[in-house]
Amino acid sequence: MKILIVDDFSTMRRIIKNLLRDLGLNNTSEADDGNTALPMLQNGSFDFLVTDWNMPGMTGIDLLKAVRADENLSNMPVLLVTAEQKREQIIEAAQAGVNGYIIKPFTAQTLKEKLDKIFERVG
Amino acid sequence: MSCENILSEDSLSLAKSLVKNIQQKNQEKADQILNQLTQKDDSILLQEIGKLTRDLHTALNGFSIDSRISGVAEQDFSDARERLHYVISLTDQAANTTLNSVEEAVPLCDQMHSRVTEIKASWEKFLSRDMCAEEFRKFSRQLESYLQGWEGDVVSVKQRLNEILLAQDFQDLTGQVLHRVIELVENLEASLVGLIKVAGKKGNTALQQKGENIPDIEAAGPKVPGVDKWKTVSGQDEVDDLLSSLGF
Repeated sequence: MKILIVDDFSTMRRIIKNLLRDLGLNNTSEADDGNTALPMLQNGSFDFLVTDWNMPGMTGIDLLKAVRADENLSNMPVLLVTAEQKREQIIEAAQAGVNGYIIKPFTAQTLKEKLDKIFERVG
Repeated sequence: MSCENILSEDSLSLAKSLVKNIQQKNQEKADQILNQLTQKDDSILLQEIGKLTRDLHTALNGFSIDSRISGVAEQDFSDARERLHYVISLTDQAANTTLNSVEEAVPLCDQMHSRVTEIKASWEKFLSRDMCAEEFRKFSRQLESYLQGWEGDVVSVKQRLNEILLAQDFQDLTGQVLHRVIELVENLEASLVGLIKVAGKKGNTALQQKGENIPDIEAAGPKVPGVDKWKTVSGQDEVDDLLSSLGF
């Protein structure tokens, strides 16, 4: 499975990358905001997107909306991993079609649970 | 009207008259004119002081009605201080988590290393057929026990490494908080520039007021305890509950 990790902080990208590797998911690429990520998604045959919300340039929520609006990407599972934790934001993400929402700081166990749930649902 | 202009108009004729009276040795008249001139200077001085006072008053009023500046002074400084304290606390927490994990993992590694050295010596003895039956039985038991121990030790070391890995999230979280503080410093800079304009140009005292409320959907970074008042969920469980109430 090919996964794109999007976060403006390289340390967080590395954390997620290492945790995914621990779960046997080795094929990952990285981008530092939505503007960089979107063309990568459009050209890169990715299967799964893990993104932060608060990023300069294009935010994670806008990236999610762009993915849902793109007919080739609209079915891609998207997991938001973010420090944003207002109810309105979570509702907004749900309405935009997010598949999972993890708030930072998080544990390896939480990441595993959400991934299991997403792929169980997506099939 | 400037001080210079006032002096050049009325005072000139008085001065001429003063000179004339002094030349004519008319002491009484000369004193009278001199008094008149001095009083005139006093009244000009008073007028100028009055003008300066009004300017100062306008400027001071300007300070107090500029809500951005009073906001920076009263709220934003304390806000920035709290955010920086939060950064200290997060970095402290991350450093301690990392150090604890290292302190727990290092003895496990040392123990594994010393046992490997011990087993290696026995193994070499076994290979060179220099081991009696009793020694071999002891070696077998030792090896079995060490192998079991290593299995658990390796898992423990890996757990510690994962804890170290996750502790690095402080960089992302503190980075977002520090960005907010930088924003605040930039606002302060803009306010001070505005203040200089107010002080230098009377009458133009109103500065555009900055919106205080962050829209609900706009990204705001991690909520800093005691500083950010907006309402958030209490943790991952509440996120999960909220999402399942929305049909997830």
